[in-house]
Amino acid sequence: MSRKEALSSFIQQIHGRPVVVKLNSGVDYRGVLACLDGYMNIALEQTEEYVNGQLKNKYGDAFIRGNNVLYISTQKRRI
Amino acid sequence: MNPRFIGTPREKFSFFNTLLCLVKSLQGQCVTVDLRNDSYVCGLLLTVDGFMNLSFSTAVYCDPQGNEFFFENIFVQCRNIRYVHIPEHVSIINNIKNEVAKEVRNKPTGRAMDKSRKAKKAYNQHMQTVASLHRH
Amino acid sequence: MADDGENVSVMTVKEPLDLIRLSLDERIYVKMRNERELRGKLHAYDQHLNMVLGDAEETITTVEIDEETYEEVYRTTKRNIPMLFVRGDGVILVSPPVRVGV
Repeated sequence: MSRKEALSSFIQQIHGRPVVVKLNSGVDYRGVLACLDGYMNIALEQTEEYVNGQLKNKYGDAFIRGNNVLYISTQKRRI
Repeated sequence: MNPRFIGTPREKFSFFNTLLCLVKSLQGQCVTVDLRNDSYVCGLLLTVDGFMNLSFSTAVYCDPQGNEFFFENIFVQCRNIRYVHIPEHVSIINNIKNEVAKEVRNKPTGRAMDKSRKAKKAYNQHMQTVASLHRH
Repeated sequence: MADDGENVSVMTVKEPLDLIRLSLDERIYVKMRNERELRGKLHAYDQHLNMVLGDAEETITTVEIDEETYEEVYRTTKRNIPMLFVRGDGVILVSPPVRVGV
């Protein structure tokens, strides 16, 4: 499987799922994945911002610029 | 006053497809640019290149401690720019339209039609997007 | 295109930048690097997330250590800029206003 296929199948799998996005700065965003693109730009719904594990902010929708993203993962538990 | 935009194809792409043209339309005006290290430059914007590197003449540079330095000429690298303050009297839509029109007017004709299939497809898609924007 | 004839408000978000497009002419929240936040009306944006914000309010948060209690003190300073071009590489997060009735 090429890198492109691997990525697109990953995207299909996690679409609409609750995810955790970690930024290079260490800040976590938890929310429902609306979509993402090839730059790792991410659109989240019902977003919660966690700094050092503490809830700091809530956003209805949020766009995260891809260059800040360290990883995106699915959540173990539902929010 | 503005010569034709000079640059690599990539720089030209940025000019036509990003807000670079808006910054370029401010050439010849006095603008303030905030830099990443909390300093700022205020001066007459001389040139803007395809990466948004800026050069000023008769500019004041203010460092993070608040000390002011006057320079005849100053060059600011694009990666250090945080904000560009747009003068209040500027209408951004008109500025973008004028700036792009200037380039299109100056475009040498002749090779315009020998586009590849891919380029034509991209062009048509672009025009569709533009049309859909006008509808709203 | 496929979504021709569809209302703008029901247009789905197909790629992340659509979220920004739907926020045009609305007041948005932008989280920037170096503990800066912006609120302003989105007039224009491009693929790098360069943006033009009108009536922008910038909030800068600084942390200082209290010399006596050694506690972290958060201090915010605000300023208003009538029209601001924001370079995309400083942007971390963009959030449109909360839409009602979606």
